[in-house]
Amino acid sequence: MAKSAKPTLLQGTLDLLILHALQRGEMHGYAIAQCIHLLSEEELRVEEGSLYPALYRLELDGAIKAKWGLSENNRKAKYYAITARGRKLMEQQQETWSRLSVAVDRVLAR
Amino acid sequence: MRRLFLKLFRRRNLASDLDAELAFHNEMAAANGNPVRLGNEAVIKENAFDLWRFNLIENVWRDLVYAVRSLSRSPGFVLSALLSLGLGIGVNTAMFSIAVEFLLSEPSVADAQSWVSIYLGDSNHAKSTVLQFLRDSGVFQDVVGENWENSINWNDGHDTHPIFSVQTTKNYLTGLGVPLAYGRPWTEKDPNNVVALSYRFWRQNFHGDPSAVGRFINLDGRAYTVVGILPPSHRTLIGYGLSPDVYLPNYLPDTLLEIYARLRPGMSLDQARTAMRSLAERMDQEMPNPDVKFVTGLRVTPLAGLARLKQEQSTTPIGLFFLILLMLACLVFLIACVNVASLLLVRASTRRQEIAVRLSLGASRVRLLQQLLAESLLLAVLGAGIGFGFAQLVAADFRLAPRLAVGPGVFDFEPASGTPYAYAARLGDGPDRGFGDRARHRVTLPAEPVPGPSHQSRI
Repeated sequence: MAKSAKPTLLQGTLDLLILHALQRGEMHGYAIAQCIHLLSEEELRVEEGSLYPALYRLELDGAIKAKWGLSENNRKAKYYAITARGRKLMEQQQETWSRLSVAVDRVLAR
Repeated sequence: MRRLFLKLFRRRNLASDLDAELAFHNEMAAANGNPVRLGNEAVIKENAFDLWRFNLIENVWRDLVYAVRSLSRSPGFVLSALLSLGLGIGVNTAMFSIAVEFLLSEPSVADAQSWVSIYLGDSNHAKSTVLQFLRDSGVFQDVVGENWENSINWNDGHDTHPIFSVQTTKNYLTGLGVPLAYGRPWTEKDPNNVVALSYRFWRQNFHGDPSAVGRFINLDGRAYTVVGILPPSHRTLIGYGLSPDVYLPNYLPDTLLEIYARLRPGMSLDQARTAMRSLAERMDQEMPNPDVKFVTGLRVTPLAGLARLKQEQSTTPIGLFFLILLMLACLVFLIACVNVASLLLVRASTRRQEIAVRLSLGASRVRLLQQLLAESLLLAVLGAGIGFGFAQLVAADFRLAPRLAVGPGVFDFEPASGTPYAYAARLGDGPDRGFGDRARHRVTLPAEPVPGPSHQSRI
C-alpha cells in the first residue's frame, strides 16, 4: 500500500509553506502557488510538479480538506482548507524549521 | 485506517478531479502570464495517484490488462508461443506423471508396507497348495495369490469380447484390504463364480450404475455374480499402470499364482527371510517339487515403494527407459523455451519505439520492466495451463486405456512364443500386462460354454 513519502527537508518545507498559505483561508491550487510565490517576493517558486502531489498527500494525511467550488472568474475549482490536524502539523513543522534555520545560521555565522 | 477509507471511497473520481484541477491551474497560469510552470503533467498525475492507490495490486492488475491487450493484438505470436510452451510443459508433465504412476504408485491395499513378494525356486509363482502351506505355517499374517496371465471371454448379450482378468485366491480382497467403491469383497464363503469389476470396465459397460452389484455377467459361458466394484484410484499389486478389467476368485488347480504375504506386526524383512528359509526347507521335504528346489533362489522382497524398485530386476531397464524419456521431454521443453525466448526477442526489437516513447513520457524503468514481466508471466501461466490440460488428457488416457491388446481375431492364429507382435500391438495401446517375465502370452480359446473353468489353454 502506498504511504505518503516521509517529508524530506524540501518536501517538509513545501508542506509548511502550503499549510501556512492556507491559514489565510481556503484557496485553490493555483492561488496557493501564487501566494507562496508572492509572499516570498518572487524568490520562491513552487517546484515543478510537486504542488499537486503535495496537496494530495496532505489531503490523505488529513492536514487539509478539499471541496469543489467556483473561482473568482466563475470556473469550477477545487478549494483547499486547513484542518485542525493541519494546524497542529504546521506548528510542529514551523518549530522544526526555525530550529533548523537557526542552526544553519549559527553554522554559517562562524 | 482513515487512509484506507479515503482511498476506498474517494478514488472513483480521482482522475477526473485531478484533470480538472490541472486544467484550471494551466488556464489561470496562462491568464496571468504563466509565472508558475507546472511541468510534466503525466508525472504529476502518476505521483499524485500513487498516494491514493493500492499501488502494488493495481499496478499488477493494470499490467495484466495491458498485457492482455497487447498480446491480443498479435495472435500469431501468442499462438505459437503458447503452443510451444504448452507442448513442452505438457510432454514433461505427462511423462512425469506416467513415470510416477509406473514406478512409484503404491498398490491399493491396507498397509502396503507390510506386504512382501515371495520367490521360491527362483519364481514368485507357485501352485495354490504351496500358498496353502505358507498360510498354514502361520509365519505370515496372511498369504494371497493372483494370476495375471489371463483373458476371459465376456459375453455382453450380443457379442463376446476377450477381457483382461486376474484370477485370485479367495482371501485376496479381504486379506489385502483392497478398498471397493461399491459392493463388498468376496470371502471364503462365496462360490467361485463371483467377480469384482474394475472402475473402468464398470463405467464403460454398466454406465456407472451402482446397481450392477448383484447382477450376473457371462464370463466364459458361466454366470458370475458381481459382488464389488473397484474405485477409480485402484492400483494393482504389480503396478506399472496395469489395470485389469475383472478380478475373480476362480482358477484351475494347477494354476501358478504369484505369492504375496503380509508380515506379522513387528516382523522385520530379515526375520521373514530366515523364517522363509526354514519353511522352504520343510517344503522341499514334505512336498518336493521335481523341477526345482524351493530353497533355490529364495527371496522375500518388499512390495511397495522404493524398496521394491531396488529389489526388482526389471526396474533398471524400465527406470532407464523413463530417464531417457524424461530427458527427451526436458529437451523438448528446452527447445520450446528457446523458441519462445527468440519470439519474445523479436517482439522486443519491434517494440523499441514504444518503449522509447514511454520512457520519454516519464515511465520509470522499473514500471516498464514490471509490465514486460507481466506479459511474460501471462504467457507462461497460459502455457502452463495448456500444458496441464494436455498432460491430463494424455495421462488420464494412459491410466484408463490399458486393456487387452488382443482383439477377437486372436482366435484365428497362434502367436509365436516370443510374441513380438503382441508387444507391438500393446505399445500402441498403452502397457498392459506385458512386462518382464509376466509377458508370457495366454489366449482363451472360444470354447463352448463348458461347466467348470477347465477350458483355458496356454500356447
